[in-house]
Parts: sequence; C-alpha cells; structure tokens
Amino acid sequence: MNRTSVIWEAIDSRNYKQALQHVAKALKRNPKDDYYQALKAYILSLQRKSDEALLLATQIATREPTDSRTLELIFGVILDLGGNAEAGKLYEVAARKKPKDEDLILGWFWAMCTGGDVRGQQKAAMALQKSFPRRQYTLWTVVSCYLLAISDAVSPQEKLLFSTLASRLLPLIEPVRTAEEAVLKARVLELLPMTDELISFLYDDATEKWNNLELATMRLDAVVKSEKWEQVFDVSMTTVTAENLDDFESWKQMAYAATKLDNEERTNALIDLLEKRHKTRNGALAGVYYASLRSTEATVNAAKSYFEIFGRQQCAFEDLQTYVGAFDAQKWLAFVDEQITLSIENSTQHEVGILVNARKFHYLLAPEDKSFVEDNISLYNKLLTSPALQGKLETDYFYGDDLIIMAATWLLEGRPVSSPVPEEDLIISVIILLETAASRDKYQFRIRLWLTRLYLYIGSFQQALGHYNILSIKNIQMDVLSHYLLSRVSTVCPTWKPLISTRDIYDSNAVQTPYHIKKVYETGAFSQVAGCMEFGKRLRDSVNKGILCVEAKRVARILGMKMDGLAINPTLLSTTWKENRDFSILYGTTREETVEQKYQVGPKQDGNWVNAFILRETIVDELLTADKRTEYTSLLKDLLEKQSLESLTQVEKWSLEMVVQLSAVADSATVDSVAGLHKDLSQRIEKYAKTDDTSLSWEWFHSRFIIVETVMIVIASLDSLVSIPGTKLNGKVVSAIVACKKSFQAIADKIKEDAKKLKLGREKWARDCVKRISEFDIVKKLDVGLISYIVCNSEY
Amino acid sequence: MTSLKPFHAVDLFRVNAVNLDVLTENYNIAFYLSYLTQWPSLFFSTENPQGEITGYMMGKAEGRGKEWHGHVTCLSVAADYRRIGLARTLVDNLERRSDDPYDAYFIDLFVRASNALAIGMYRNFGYSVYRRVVGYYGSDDGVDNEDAFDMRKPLKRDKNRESIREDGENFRVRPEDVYL
Repeated sequence: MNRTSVIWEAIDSRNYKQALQHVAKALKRNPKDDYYQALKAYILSLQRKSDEALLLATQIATREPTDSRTLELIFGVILDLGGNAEAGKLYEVAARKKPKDEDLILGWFWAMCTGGDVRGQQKAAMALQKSFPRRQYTLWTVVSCYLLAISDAVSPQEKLLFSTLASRLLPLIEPVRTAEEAVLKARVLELLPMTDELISFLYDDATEKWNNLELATMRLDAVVKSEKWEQVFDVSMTTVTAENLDDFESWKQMAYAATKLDNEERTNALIDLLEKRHKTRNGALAGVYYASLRSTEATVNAAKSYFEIFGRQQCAFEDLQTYVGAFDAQKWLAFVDEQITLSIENSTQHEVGILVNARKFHYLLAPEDKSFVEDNISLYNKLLTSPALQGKLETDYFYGDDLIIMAATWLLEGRPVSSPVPEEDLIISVIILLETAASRDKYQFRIRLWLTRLYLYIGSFQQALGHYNILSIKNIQMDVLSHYLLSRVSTVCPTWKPLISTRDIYDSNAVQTPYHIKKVYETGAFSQVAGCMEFGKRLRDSVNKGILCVEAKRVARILGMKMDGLAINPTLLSTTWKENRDFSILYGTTREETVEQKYQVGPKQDGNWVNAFILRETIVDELLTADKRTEYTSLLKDLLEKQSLESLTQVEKWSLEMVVQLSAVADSATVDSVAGLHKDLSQRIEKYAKTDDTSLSWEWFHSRFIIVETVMIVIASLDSLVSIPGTKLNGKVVSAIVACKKSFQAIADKIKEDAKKLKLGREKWARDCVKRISEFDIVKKLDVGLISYIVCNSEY
Repeated sequence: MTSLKPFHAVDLFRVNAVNLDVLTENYNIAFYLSYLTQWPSLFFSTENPQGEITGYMMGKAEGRGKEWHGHVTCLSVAADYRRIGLARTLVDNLERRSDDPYDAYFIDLFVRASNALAIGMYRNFGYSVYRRVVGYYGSDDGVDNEDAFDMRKPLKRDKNRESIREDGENFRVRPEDVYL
C-alpha cells in the first residue's frame, strides 16, 4: 500500500493523529509537496483545528496549485472555514492557467455545485463550453445563466445580461431532445420580454407532444400573463373538457377570461359547462368564483349551492372562507346552521363534517359570541358516542376534534366567554381541553403541536416532549417543525438528545444535496436544478440551524459536557439566514398568528438573535486574543445599540451586555473594572431571580438558567484572565476577582436551592389548580373524567 | 379547489399538512432528491388556491421488457382534503404520464394486505391484486412482518392485459422475487 492510501485509510478510520504522522513523514521527504500539505490542512480541519487548517490551506492557495486532488482538498477546507468567495477563486485561478484541462475545469464546475456558488457554476460551465464545445456543456451554461438571471444576488443589469446570454445559446441546443430541455428553453424564454415567442414555443405541436405537467402549467400562465383572453378561455376550456383534466386553475382562468371578454358565445359556453359540472367540487367552486366576479348576491347563491353539496367535506370551510367575508354574516350563519339536520349522537362522518364546518363559520364571522366555547364543548360531548368517532380507525382523524381546537384558540385569543376562566388558570384549562381530545384521537397532529407549544410555554418540557414524540418528527421536518419543542431549549430545559438529533438534517444536507445537484446536471433533469439549489441553500442557511448551533453549545456548557466539536465559526455572521420554520400549521380555522406568537417561549428567535449569540460565544472563546475580542465586541455592541433586537428577551439582552462588560475587563483588569462587573451582575441577578413565583411559566426557568449560564461564563473567563501565561495581575485585582467568583458561585448555589423549593411548590400549586379548575363551567361541561393533577404538573 | 403542480425540492418545506399524517412516511433528503433527479415529471402535487400543498404523488418508471411500468412509491393526501377525489386525480395523472411519454405496460403499487381501505380505493380506480408478497413489510427480525399486495392496472400498451391475473391474492412470492 502506498503512503497516500495509508493516509486515507487512517483518515477514513478517524485516526487523525496517525494520519498526520504519515503526512509528516511524507513532508519530510517532499516538504514543498502541495498535496501532502493539503492533506495536512484537511486533517487539521477534521480535528476542528480551524485556524491552523485555514491558515495552511490559504498558504497553499497562494501558490496557485493546479493539481485536482490538491484543489479538491483545500477547496473543502476553505469553503468550510473561510467562505464561498475565497474557495471559488482557487479553481478560477487554476483554470486560467490550464484552460485545456477538462478534468480540472469539470472539477471546478462540480466544486461550485458543492459550494452552491451559482456565479462560479456559470463561469466554470462557460469555460467548459468554450474549450470543449459539447452540447451537454452548452446546456449547463444555459442552466447556470438562467439560475443567475433568477437569483436575488445579482443586479438588474446582470439579470438582463444573463437572460440574454442564455437565450443566445438556445439555438445551439436545437432541436430540444427531451421534455426537460423543453422546460429549460421555456424558462429562458420566459425571462425575455418576447412573450409571443414563448407562447408559440409552448403551443408548438413538438412541445405539446412531451405531455409534461411543468410545460402545461407554463402554457396557461403564459397566455394569462399576455392577457390574450380568447386564447386563455379556449385553452382552459380544452383542458377541462377535451383533456378531461379537472384543474381548478383552468376553471378559474376560464371564468376570468369570460368576464374580461364579455362575449355572449363564450359566456354561454361557460354557463353551460358550470351547470353540467355543478356537482363536481372544482366545477361548483368555479361557479362561486365566477359569481364573485359579478355580484355578492350571486356569490351567496353559488356558495349556498356549493355548501349544500360539499358542506359535509372537511375542505368546505377552506374553500369558501375567502368569499364569506363579504356576506351578511347573520344570514350566512343561519343558512349553514340550517344544513345541520343530524341527530348528533348517531352522526355519521358526513354529518359531523357539516356541523364542524358550520361552527368554523361561526368562529370566523361571530367573534363576539359568548357561548361559542360552551356550545362547542357541548357538541363535542354529544359526538363522543357517535359512529363517526367510535368506528374510526386509530390512525384516522376525528373531524369533531376541530370543535375542541376552536374552543382552545378562542380562549387563547381572549375572545369573550360567558364564564371566563381566571387568567392564571387559562393555559391549564386549555391544556385540559386539548388533552381530552388527544386521549381519544392519538394522531391528531394539530392538537399535539398545540400541546407541545403550551406545555413548553408553562415550562413543562417533559410533557411537551411526550406529545412531540408522538408526532415522529424526522428528516426535513426537523428543520421546519422542531422549533415547537426546541425554542430556547437551553434555558427551559437544557437537554441534549432531541437537540443534537435535530441537527443531523444539516449534515445530511451538506452531503446529499450537492451530490444530487450533480446528478440533476448529469441526468439532465433541468426543471429541478433551481429547486435543488434553493433547497440546499435554505437548509444550509436555515435560521433554525443557526439557533440549534448556538443552543448546542449553551446546553453543553450548562450540563458540563465537553465542548469539542461545538465551536461556532464566526464566518456564519455573514449568513443571510433563511426562514423555513412553519408557524401556521397549528391553524385549522384561522391564520391568526398573533395567538401562536403570544404563546411562544419568548419573542420569535431570528437571524439577529443567532448573530448576537454567535458574537457572544466568539468573544468568550477569543477572550484572550485582544484583536479578535475587540473586533467582535465592537460588532456585538453595534448590534445591541443599533438593532432593536426584538427577538431577545430582557434577560438575554442583559446576558449579552455582561459579555461586553467582561470583554472590557479583559482589556484592562483593574480593581474598579472587576468591581463594576461584580456590581452590575449582582444587581441584575436580584431582579431576575425573585424566588416567590411558583406559577407555571417558562420565564422562571429561562431567567434562572441564563443567570447560571452567565455566571459560568464570567467565572470561567475570570479564571482564564488570572492564569494568562506571562502576565502578572496586581494582587488587589486578583483578590477582587476571587471575591467576585465566590459571590457568583454563591448566587448559582442559591438558584439551585430555589429550584428545589419551586419543585415542591409547583406540586402544591398544581393540586390547587386542579381543584380550582374542576369548578369551572367549561371543565364541568367537558366529559373529561377525573382531572389528574399530573396533567398540570411539570415533570421538570 | 385543486390544481396539479409539478413538485420541486423546495416544496419539501411545504408538505407538513400532508406529512404529519401518521401513516405517511417522511423520507430522508436523498430519497426525495433521487426521485426528483431521475423521474422529475412523475413527482407532483395538488395545491389549493392559497398555494398550500394538499397531497402529492411520488412515482417512478422502471423494469425491462414487458415489465416496463410506472410505480406509485408514495401517494398521500392531507387529512382536511380527503374523500374529495384528490387521490384519484393524482393517480390519474401518474397513469397519464406513464402512458405517454413513458409508454409503460402497466402501473403498480404495494399496499399492506391488511389495509382494506387502500385496497378498496385502488380496486375502485381499476387496480387488481397481481401477487401477494409474503413478509414484504416488517423488521429484519421478522417479528412484525406483514404481507403486501402488489396491485396493478394495465395501460394502453398492454393490449392483451398480460400484466394482470385473476386470483392474484393467492399467488404468493417472496420479497426477493419482487426485486428481480
């Protein structure tokens, strides 16, 4: 086995120390060998020795290597540790030196795909196409020009430039050979002002023969955009009738075009078709839409016709809710109530559907109805014996649960009720409502998500976790939904397992998405390139990822775990954080996000929150490195001063300010600066650590954990200051530091004691609470059985 | 209101109402992207006018000779949008694309032998059981193993309807036979 293989074997078995020893031997023989140097940089990066790795990789880069193996290695290191721009230059320089080396330029193209660098992709594709004029490379150039033309990262002038460039290359790929190439050509034509050319291409027989959904969607969009209403009408009519595709978009555009044209023949054709299809869902809804373009009265009539047929379906409320705002609310509610003709106790699924949809309209149109909650609970109780619930499979949902969800959100929104629940017992009452429904319908996800959110809100992480686990959140859902459990987890219940397993999705994205982007190019699935690129970018720059990255380090600190591998790279500060989290999935009836936000654990964490904590962690890590500390402290101060930082709680803001102050102490450790730190810290701790509050609240935990965490940071940092090699602090300063540490340690101990008292206090509180709640009308009316105090009790 | 839309990778962020269903599998990134990469036109969704995804179909085309066929890998519809024909819309569209341009002989799918609802639904769509795959679902230790029905529907190319058979429920094969 040669030396390179031995090194790679050691790397693959994660024996980095041995790998470095082999590299050292190789470098002894060939000290200037770029490849071995690059291997060394790579291994150092694997060992998380970031600074050393980046420095070495950058040194190699300055020698402008052209060897593919070396480039690949240092590209990876610089991309991870130094950012995209620097990494991209490596290949560009090499390709300029060796423009005829196809492997090298191809390596450049794939590297740009890996780094998600579209501009780099375009340059590399262009270089390939120029030096090796093959059809495949031309296609790649068109794709990358198209990607740049639709990118937010380029100027309007550049967009125009790349659109033009892509369109000029189109003749070179004629005739298109696959549906995917046809989609690419259509996407490029779509960028240009010449709509006729796009329409003529999309409606060409040769294009239509591909029978492709993407092209079909573009076909309708193109004629709508060009406002060719006759064509819009005819095309839509053909889709719905001759092609027999019951596509609502086609129905809608047909109705819109008929209104625009105001032509008797087409209007009659539409009315005929609507009459023939009024029993199909899309046909009936097209009737409502068409009526909405004429008059409210016509819309009401059409909506009534629709509801009479489809009111039993769960989607009926969603389908009509955009129209009913314009109706006479009382008349509409009277109409939907009339449709409820069932004997509730024996109701079938369809009858439950009509009932729940009617109640949803009440929720929407009668927000002042004081008996709404009681009525919903009473209806839910009656449905308990219905075949719709009794006969359902365990994995099916019971639509009657929406009555409870509506009652819960009604209460949380603070809408009027006939027998109000005291403010301090509101959340527990809502939890009891939801738990009751959950006990009969295990997999109703909206109920589980609400329960997760509300338990976390009252600081009962274990209860929240139980509900969250039933949802089996995994893979991409980790990015989108894990915030329901993990918002500010480090300061509500510092826990490791759910946090760390959630981060796996980002590692998977780093490997899998670039691989598949490469595959997309290779297989020619051009309709998917933009989506895959965007997907990879949104996961890479996900704000949830940033939050979890910070939270992992904080949890490790609080739990006293090893911090290896949790270093936060300050280059993340240049990230434009992407929001993928879903905050609206909770709602079945309205999309009033203010309620969800009201019951979040603190204000919604965002990119500013992430950046503030990245700076805090970096300052703590670099406390002894004057230049970096000053630079990052100044950035954090700017962020605290200039940004409103609405995403921070008061105590989080305070913690960040303390680190700024700590940095000042590190600048100049004097008796005064240490005393100042001591004073400020102690004063605020007094404020945030009041011990008499035993009610259920995330805030109790949040403020205490942040105090403990801040104290830990300060103590560790003061320890480091005292033991800086080669420095000698004044004896008085050292004494001040020791006193300060002692005092803080006492504070941390006091908080631990308070936590014990709280635990006992909460149990009593929960028992009292159950007693109080059992007397409320709402709970009395709910068929809940004996309320267990465990429901209300935090297991924390 | 339903419109068919092509599925793209970024849509994976928008499928919560569908994928939070307990019976819908949440695959890893590689699985979804490999379908989008290899069979981009056989992965599509239904959307409501608010642009929310209400259901989707993941399909593929595979096989040799007369076994060249379209396959339903995953079909799922959000709870609020069930029983209004979305599944049929999605299956129809896969059949349409498998006919042209894929020119497949038939479409097939696997369903748990105990899943009477799904079996009934597919029979209603014109599918019939071709064979019973013994122990297709379940763990490696064989504790919770369950049989699958391989259900098929012939497409235009299968003029003689050779891809289906009578009494398929009793035609037993092993899982490894399916992968041949």
